[in-house]
Amino acid sequence: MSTPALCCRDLEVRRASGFVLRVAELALDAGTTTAICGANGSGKSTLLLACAGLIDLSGGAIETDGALYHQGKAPAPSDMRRRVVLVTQDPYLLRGSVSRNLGWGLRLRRVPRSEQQGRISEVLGALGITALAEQEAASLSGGQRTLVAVARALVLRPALLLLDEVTRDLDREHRAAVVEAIKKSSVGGAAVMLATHDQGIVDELGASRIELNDGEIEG
Amino acid sequence: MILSGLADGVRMLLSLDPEVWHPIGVSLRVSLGACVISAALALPLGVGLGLGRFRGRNAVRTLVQASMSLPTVMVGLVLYGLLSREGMLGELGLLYTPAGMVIGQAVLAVPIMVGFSSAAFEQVDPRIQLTGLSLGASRLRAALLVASEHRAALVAAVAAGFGRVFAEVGVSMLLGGNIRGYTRNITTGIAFETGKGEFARGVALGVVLLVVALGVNLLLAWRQPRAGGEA
Repeated sequence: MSTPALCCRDLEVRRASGFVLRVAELALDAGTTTAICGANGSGKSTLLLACAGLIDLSGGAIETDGALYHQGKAPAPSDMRRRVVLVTQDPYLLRGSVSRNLGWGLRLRRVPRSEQQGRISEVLGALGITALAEQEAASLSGGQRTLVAVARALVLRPALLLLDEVTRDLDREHRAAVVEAIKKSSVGGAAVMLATHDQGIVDELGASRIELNDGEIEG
Repeated sequence: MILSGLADGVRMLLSLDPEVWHPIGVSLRVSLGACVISAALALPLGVGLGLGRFRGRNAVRTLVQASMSLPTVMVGLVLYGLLSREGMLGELGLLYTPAGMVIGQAVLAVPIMVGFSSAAFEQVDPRIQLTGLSLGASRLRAALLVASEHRAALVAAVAAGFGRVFAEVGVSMLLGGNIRGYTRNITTGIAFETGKGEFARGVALGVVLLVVALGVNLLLAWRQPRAGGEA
């Protein structure tokens, strides 16, 4: 049996009002896609933040490929976090061009300059937004911003891709492009976890579905 | 009187009168030097205070805010006590030197820069830091990203500090001693020249002070709308 790409055990996130997340066990294998569904406030975004190593855990631990990744105080160590990329619901784009946004994480990972441009062009092309490459991020619409944030995550080729409601503001054409890109990423070996209310995208991705209710996995 | 003084003053500036231009050079060197030192100390502190969440933060913030309005003469007096021959730092021989003035002005500028930058960074969009971290940055690298996204606020903090020290008199007078051709700067020069009846020379220095101060404020006004904006 292979080691899961991500494994959460006895995960607990507590706020002043009480527990907002309690997950006894959750494992994601490489090359699979998992959809986290549930009502607003059910803990989907908190679970993604926890898996991204960006929120304090009041209990439990998260492992990636069998190695302890996050426990207790956030953020998790940056060398471990570089295997994981999260796209939030309302992503922030850095000042400057779309290309600069995509290049930031690549520079952080010291990807050779000669390789950066190729990877950026490839991802922008896959999402159908090549024309935006040199556009100022500040001038983009809500849907375009989401697309750029998804591209900024995909260009890093993470082992674990976490997506929070990323298809919500997209038109049909770009939604289809994002679905294809997620599939490609999964085929390439990434474990993908996305929070969504959209059953259609769960079906299109062939994702296994996990239902969250009041911070706990149902069933 | 003011108009004729202004005309004479402009004439002196154009004729490159050393009694006018030397104090201008001293002011620029001393205040820019003080700002460089202050910025190196104050901006990391300001960013840390603005973004950090630690015990005693409110007390530190209150202290910084109170220090922003320190009377320049009091700062000059305390530093005079330290730098004078009998003072703790007297052996360094910094009293009545441009270096002593730089130290004094840096003491004035640090709280201004910390206060301005921390106030700006308290308001930053928390998504910037989250974006940096979610793309794999360390905490330090994510903080640098926040600073980079809000660099206009840092420029504003430095400009405010410069505006404060460039126009102050107390520290320069007490620590520089207004020595002709050595530590006399624009503000001590204005006080000295006007006091001895050289009104035109005082006005000439005043014009430069005004132009630089206005220039700094224009820079602030130009940069300010971009500070804290979202990409």
